[in-house]
Amino acid sequence: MKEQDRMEQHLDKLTKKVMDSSLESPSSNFTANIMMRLEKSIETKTIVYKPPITKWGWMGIAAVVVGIALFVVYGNAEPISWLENVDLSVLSNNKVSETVSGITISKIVMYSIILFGALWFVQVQLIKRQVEQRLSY
Amino acid sequence: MNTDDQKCIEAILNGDANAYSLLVNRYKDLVFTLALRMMKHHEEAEEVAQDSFIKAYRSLDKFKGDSKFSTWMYRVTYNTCLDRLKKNKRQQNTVAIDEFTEHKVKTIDNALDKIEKEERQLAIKQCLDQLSNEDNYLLTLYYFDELSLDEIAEIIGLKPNNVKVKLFRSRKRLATVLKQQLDNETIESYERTGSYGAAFR
Repeated sequence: MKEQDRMEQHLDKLTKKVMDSSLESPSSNFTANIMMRLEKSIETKTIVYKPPITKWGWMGIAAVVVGIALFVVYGNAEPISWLENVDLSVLSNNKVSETVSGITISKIVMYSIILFGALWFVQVQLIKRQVEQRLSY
Repeated sequence: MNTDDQKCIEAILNGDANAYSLLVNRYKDLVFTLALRMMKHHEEAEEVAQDSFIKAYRSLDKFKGDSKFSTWMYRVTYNTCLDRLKKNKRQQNTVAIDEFTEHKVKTIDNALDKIEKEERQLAIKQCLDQLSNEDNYLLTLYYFDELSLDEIAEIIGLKPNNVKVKLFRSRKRLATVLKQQLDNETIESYERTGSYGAAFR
């Protein structure tokens, strides 16, 4: 056997001796502490993820939007009388609108904002999958 | 997977949370030892070991059973340790690797055998404290639980060949630190006279 192989064999034996001698034990109430923590977490109500807008909510919003679109396209041309009494000029005649009206956003900036937003949503999904993979085997 | 472990896991998933205490008792020593090797601090290692078992319990439904529960548990422990080390921003120790001959290794081995048990334990503990977290973890998994290279590779997220090379380097670093730990002069005396006791006459 070569010198190198013999050296590695002895090194292996030395390492085994060192590592074998050193199994440690935690405190005597280690298991009890874990079971207590688990019991507490089981007792408290589990917070289930609820999306801000439920499926039914989205269907309702879609129905309203479609309804308005259909009304606009096919509805009668006469103006709705009660709407005429509502003064909506405050929406355009205020300081905020006057300040903002001077601001223009270029197409590049707008596309960048949209792209950034889309990437952000993609990243959230990727990070979520990565965290789940770390705990699965 | 071990049949006992499998039965425990089935019982836990069927609602018997107390069955988890059997798994904890079975693996707590090794999980704690692994955590201690990485964290090098008793209280922190105990916290990390507890957190690892809690995380494992909460993810038990994700455990596919393709491999041993212990291997999965060690992976969870490894990741929990890494997270805690990142949080504490701990710096790793770097130990240079000495070159060794068969004779040098035998000399260190014999010197280790000759010293008193308590002194030996202390020397070993101090030696392991000087090794990096990763070296400690690798050596413990390989020598203590006798895991294969493939299993260790799965736990720490490397290829088996990389694990083999790392293990080889870790062993050399261990020997380097051990040589430093055992008084150099004493090892040389042992070499000359063939007896550790003679160094103190």
